[in-house]
Amino acid sequence: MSVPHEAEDDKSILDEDRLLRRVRANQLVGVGASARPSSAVFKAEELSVNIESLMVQQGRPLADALEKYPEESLASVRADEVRKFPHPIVRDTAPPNDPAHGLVLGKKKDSFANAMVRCHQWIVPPQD
Amino acid sequence: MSFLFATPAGTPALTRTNESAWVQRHATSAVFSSREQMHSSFERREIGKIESPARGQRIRITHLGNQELPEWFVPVFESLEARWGWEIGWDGYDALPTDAKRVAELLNCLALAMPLSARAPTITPLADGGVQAEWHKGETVLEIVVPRDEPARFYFYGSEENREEAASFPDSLPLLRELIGRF
Repeated sequence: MSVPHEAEDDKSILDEDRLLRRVRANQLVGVGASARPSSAVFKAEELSVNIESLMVQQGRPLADALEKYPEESLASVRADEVRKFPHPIVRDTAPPNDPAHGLVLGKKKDSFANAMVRCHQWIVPPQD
Repeated sequence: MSFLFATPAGTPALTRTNESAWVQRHATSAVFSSREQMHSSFERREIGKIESPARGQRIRITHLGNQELPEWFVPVFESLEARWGWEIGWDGYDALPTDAKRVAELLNCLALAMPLSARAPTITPLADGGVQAEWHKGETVLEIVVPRDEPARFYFYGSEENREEAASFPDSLPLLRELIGRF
């Protein structure tokens, strides 16, 4: 990743924009309809996401984020939920990254990661 | 790779060549060092292997102690086995492989904190190579987190009372035990 940690929050990413994060089976807790991401999903210091508005601009369905990962699930959190914490959201679209790639920067506290779990919504829920 | 974990709660599981990072990092290590002298009479036995057939890797788990394993060990072992992150990028992004030393540290934390018959947590690897144990009941959650480069800690969120608790692992151990009892 080439984005410095002191990067400023990109205000062109609107509050209602959704940030998409793939979730592997070993990061799920619970089963069936109650399955949700572990907080571990949201603890990376450089948290990679796909930015919904960029995918829409590019004419891509959101599930396209799983194109290379068909067995994974796709969770989303709104940018305004992230912005309740001091973590800048930035674009990171330079090749070879996905053209809708972004990052949520900074060292994450457990409180942040669990807040993201509580507000997440599934775009592509786990398969039974 | 071989490592030890402690059981029953409070039993040290250290040798000079296999002490966990958790013990190294905290003042309570003096307690463990003095107890270490008792270990010559403890049985050391391999109690499980976690293997990655695809990668030809094997992690051996060794237990030091004379008593039966706690009830939570088998489900914790199964969770570890099923969820271990073996390769760089196991999460589809840039995750580091799960570090067996951090797993040993987590097992030692669990052995110290959990009653023998407590409900087993789910084990989830962290992107930095660390690992966490987590309990859930509705939106209430408790985690013991062992990151790669930081001391172990715990985090609790109680949904009914909208309460958060967070502390380094050996601090507030009575509180942590009480919180584990909620699950």
